[in-house]
Amino acid sequence: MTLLLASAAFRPAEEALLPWRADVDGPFGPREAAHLLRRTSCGSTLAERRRVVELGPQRAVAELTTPCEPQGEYAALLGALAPLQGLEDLAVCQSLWLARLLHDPRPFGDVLALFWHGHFATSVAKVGRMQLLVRQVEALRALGRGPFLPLLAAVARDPAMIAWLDGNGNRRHHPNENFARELLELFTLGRGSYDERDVREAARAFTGWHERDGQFRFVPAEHDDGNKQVLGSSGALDGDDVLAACLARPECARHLAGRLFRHFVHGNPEPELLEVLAVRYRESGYDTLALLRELLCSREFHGPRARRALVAGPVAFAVGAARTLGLLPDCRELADRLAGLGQSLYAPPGVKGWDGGRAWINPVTIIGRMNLAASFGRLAAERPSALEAAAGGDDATALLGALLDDDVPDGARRELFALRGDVAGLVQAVLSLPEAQLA
Amino acid sequence: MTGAPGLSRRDLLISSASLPALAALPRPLARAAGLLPVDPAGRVLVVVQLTGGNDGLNTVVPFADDDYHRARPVLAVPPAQALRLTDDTALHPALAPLLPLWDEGRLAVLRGVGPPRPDRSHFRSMEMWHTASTDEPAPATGWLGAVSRELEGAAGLPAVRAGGRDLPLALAGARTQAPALVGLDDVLIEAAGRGGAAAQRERLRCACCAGGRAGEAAWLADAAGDAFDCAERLALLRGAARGTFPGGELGRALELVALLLGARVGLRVACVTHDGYDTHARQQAGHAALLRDLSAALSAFDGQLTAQGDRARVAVMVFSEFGRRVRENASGGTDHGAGNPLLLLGEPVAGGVHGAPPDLRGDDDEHDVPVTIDFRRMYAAALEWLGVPSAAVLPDHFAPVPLLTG
Amino acid sequence: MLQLAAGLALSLLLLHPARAGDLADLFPDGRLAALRVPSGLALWQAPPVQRAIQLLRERGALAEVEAGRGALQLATGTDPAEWLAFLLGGEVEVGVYEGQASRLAGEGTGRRRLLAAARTPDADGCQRILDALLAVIESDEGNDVRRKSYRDVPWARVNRELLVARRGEVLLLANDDDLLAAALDRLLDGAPAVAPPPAAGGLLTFELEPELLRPRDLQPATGAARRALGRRIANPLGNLLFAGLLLGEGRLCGSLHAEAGALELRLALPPAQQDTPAAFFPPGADGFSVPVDGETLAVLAVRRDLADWWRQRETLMSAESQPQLAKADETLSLLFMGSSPAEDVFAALGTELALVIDRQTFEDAPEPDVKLPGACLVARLHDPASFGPAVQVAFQSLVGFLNTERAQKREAPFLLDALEHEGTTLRAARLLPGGPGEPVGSDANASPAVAIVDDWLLLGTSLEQVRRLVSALRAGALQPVAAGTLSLHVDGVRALRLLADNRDVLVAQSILEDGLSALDAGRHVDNLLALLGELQALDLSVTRAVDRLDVLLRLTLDGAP
Repeated sequence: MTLLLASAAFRPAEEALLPWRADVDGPFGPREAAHLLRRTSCGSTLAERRRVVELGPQRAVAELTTPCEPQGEYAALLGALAPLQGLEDLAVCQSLWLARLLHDPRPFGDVLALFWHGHFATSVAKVGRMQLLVRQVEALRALGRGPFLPLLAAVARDPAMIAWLDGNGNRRHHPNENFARELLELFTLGRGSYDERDVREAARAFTGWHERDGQFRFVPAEHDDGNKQVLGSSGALDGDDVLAACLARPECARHLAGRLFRHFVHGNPEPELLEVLAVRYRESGYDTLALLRELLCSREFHGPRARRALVAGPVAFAVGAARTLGLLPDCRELADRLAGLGQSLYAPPGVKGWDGGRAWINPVTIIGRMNLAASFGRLAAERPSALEAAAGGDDATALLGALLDDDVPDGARRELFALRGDVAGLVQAVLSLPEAQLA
Repeated sequence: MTGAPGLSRRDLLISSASLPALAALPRPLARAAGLLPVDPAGRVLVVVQLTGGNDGLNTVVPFADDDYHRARPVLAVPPAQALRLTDDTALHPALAPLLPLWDEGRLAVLRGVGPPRPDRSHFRSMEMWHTASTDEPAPATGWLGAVSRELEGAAGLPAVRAGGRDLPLALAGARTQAPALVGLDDVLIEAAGRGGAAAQRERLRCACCAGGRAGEAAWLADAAGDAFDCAERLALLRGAARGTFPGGELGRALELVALLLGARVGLRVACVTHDGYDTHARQQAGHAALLRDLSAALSAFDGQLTAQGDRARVAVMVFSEFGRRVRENASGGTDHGAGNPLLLLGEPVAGGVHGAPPDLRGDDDEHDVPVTIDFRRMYAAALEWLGVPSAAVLPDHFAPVPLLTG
Repeated sequence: MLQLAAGLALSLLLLHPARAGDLADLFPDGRLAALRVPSGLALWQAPPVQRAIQLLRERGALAEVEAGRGALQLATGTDPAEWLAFLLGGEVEVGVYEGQASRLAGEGTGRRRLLAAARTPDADGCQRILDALLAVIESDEGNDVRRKSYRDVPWARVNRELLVARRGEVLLLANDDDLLAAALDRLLDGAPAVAPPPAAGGLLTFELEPELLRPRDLQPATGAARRALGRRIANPLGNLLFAGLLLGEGRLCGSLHAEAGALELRLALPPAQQDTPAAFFPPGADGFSVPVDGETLAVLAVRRDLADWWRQRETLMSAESQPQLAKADETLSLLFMGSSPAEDVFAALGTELALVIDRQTFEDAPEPDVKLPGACLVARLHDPASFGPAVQVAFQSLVGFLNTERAQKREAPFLLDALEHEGTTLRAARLLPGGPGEPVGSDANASPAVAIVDDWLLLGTSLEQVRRLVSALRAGALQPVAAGTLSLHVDGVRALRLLADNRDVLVAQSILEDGLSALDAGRHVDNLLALLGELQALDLSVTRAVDRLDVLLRLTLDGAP
């Protein structure tokens, strides 16, 4: 009897999370490589896809997600861009981030930083000083792969975050609940897993966590060191204790695992699958990199439900297209266009960040994407050799293969082949297709 | 000039005796004669935000009130220059272009509007107006975002921020992020390549709308078809006469809204802003210049709507996050206050001066114009007029002020 | 013998340029712009042009052009440069016409139409070259060449855009069918001259309708550029400097001249209207002097009646800028303790105003990443005894305002200071240094300062510059500025030094905007700097003549080694 139960315990969820194996689940070819690269690096050149196929699913994921020091040309580029990094100008800072995404041979760190930027959404519109936001995103980049607790602790002390959620107004005799509420609702547990009293008490734990002159400053005189009860923990809790209490809750792992899944895999995870992931995430000490690696290697990731399942956000769309076609657009103009498409880096619309998915799509943003495609088309026509090197050709076949795995309906294919010889028109047409909006 | 004119077309409508007569008229003729109510599914609300805290007392002037002149020896609008609306209320002289609307009975002034517990902080006050809620912290959804969710299923562009790239909190929470448009170029499709522009656009359309798609791709193909429709309609209007709008942020934004209306892209709600009303010092000349700009833009908008035949279905609501202190300050300006008049313009508006006259008695520097009408009552009226259930948007029941009719 | 004859013929050709106005007859009515080059060869051989080409070649910037040239030479057996010299070495004329409404719905009016005519030395040679060129173009599959005929004159359409025809020794190029047909008609039928051409002179002459210069028509590619131009229309500074120049209606005429060491562009702007505001042309003796120092890289001098200009701002400046101007008026009044900006503040200044631009050396101040120049307003005061203190109080209040704004954005404040320098009290505001490890932001470029020396007012963004100018005034180091309503002098060497200070920033910008690698961006910027290094000085002067405004732009180039 127990044997039967034991075998039944091996549920579909765990099967879905098993690594993809070429001999069992199907070939790991250019399509699978393109899919993996789209999710980790926004897009890919022919050479990059070949390398991933060579490495196979697991080694490729390991290589793509491992941080590596900038070297060679990329290091030279970062060095040359250093003089602009201190500027207080939003457009310049946005272009610098885009330049990283476009030039970095291993952009996963920046792609993940973009995810965390949406998760801990902080906007320069209220914070004011650009450098504070830049430093926050630097911290997200540095700690984004690691265990979640140090990342969360860094964010709780981040001067931009404190300015954003009125941390300086959170005082012993007059607590301000803004940060505590967003911490519980958005950053860790999600709605419904706590009550108002938890918020109030958590706010008290963070009193005195202020910023001054762009630096974190703990002000003991403003800190309420009395007894508090938050999420089942009690005592003279301070901010770090509250963070630990949040992470001790299974809802936290569920919430975070769910967010990571929905961003990197697809938007409809099975509850049991999320449960398994959440348990593993918590037991690993919230090791984000391990979770992501597991996800990116899994059968679920390479299965039909994840392929072309996510509407690419403006940054992912543009950077993906540019990387795949070997284009180096004007980053300042690109940042401006991306803001018009609804994603202004360093300036998300509110605490909830960007909703993503179908919310990116309305008539104006569709037109905006086509116009962006037009500008990329013109750029591609100017440098045909770069296009050939990156996509393996400048005709419809090569572009369809590089960008869309050659997967378009016949009617669309006919229109594209009518554009023989017109590189600019062809690039615009391919990038304007519905398929091209899906990552 | 006294208030609204006598027997208006509206009065005819209301009198039930006339209804059978209306039914006898062929519909297009009846609609053209303005005798049929406009279908709620076509009604449009344009929200104009005066950012900074407009000085309501100098905009809608209680010229006959001695307390007003006593509290503002320098800034008070001289009765001789003020444009009289009723026995106790006048408009700032810079608003002269709006007088024809008043004479026609299409300008309504609602006095003493604000939140029940006014706050003098720009940020907090704007938050309350945008989210229609006095909760703290404010909800993350705006009232117009909720409206746009209710209007979902409508193709095209139901809700739009015109004149800037920032998305106001009022529009947050829509099912799809409302677009922020700066100019016509944002909604026209550029064509790359060697072929003609029209040919390229046609090709893009065929490629995007070709059948044989499933799942997300199919949904996106539908959305693309919708986008092409909008772009086409707007492109047709590119060379059309646009009326003479004043330059500057507000003029351009309203010009764009008029264009979107003319293109029939399903617009229902539009947000525009006019900045610069935080007049703490030397208010006289600056405030007058702002009001001149405002009235020129609104008047041009009204004119263009008439020319386009859209006037019957558009209502414009002009608000500011708070009014200003009754007493002027030592720098020739005024500080943050509370109650403020709200303006409504357009053919669906029942003209007149409504709400209690501002109570200006009191000698101290902190005296604010009291709030006598909760701003949510205005929202309730707008929602009813738009055909959106108030319960879906407002946190509570609010009796709508009867200022908008069909 | 043959060579001598050919040489004679060639020199005769050069000495006797084709009858002026011949080519002009071919252009139909309605030119928005006309460009005339009496001798393409002379223009090509002008020393400045040759020098520029040599530089570019040395720097490898012409690599692609050279490669293309080599390929063509291989394909056709002749150096394309010879063909160009043949086709465009003689008289060349170009005309720009208004676009036509497109026949396709939804396209709007088309682009501007262009017609160009060149007189080549000989018809057969021209035909041979044309045939060879078209053959090469046709051989590439992406190109589309259609040959047609109009009134027995063969012509070709290349890639649906460019039309080419030859009749006799005249070569015609156009981008519109109707235009080419009209020109051919006039060539075949011998139409009379349209309008007398302007007096020939210089390497090239041109005329423009002013509407061509209006930003609305320029249609820049990016939204940002478009928005920037839009701002300039309403910009008060632009208005003050240039509005007086554009008040007239009618064509602009200009010509380009070259000497051994300089290139000169002369423009005649149409006569100003009768009721020109006096604000832009106040009476006064011509020629005044301005203090300069060792780091001065540019001096912009104008003669303006500021009080009058400010009084009339509602009519002189656009309607949309009025609210901001009203606010500026209020702020100025507040800064000057309630005085009227027009009557008390601007009227206290003389009509001779200058803006002196200095390179900053940051000797005793932290050096920011982006090194901006300092700018100092120099003006004479009618009554320094009473106005002097008012300015200093206003300066103090201004710094106070700035600090309140900076506090809202959590930026470091400016600290007020008073210093003595060569007998003059300077009031200055300096940024408090940031914490250790904090980058020196570009705000460190600003150290506003004000000083009054006798009846001179110095109000600048850089304390080190104001100090230097005070010394200059004390030492009597004044530089005369050109007479006229506006003049600009730029010292090329010093301007280049400023750019060189910022080479790293320019390279970074080039990476971001041009999409180049670090190495290529470095090369690109160095090429640019080398090219600019050829410029010794730039002088612009605008003088009012009886019935027009004369504009002279002179580029003095580095003397040949």
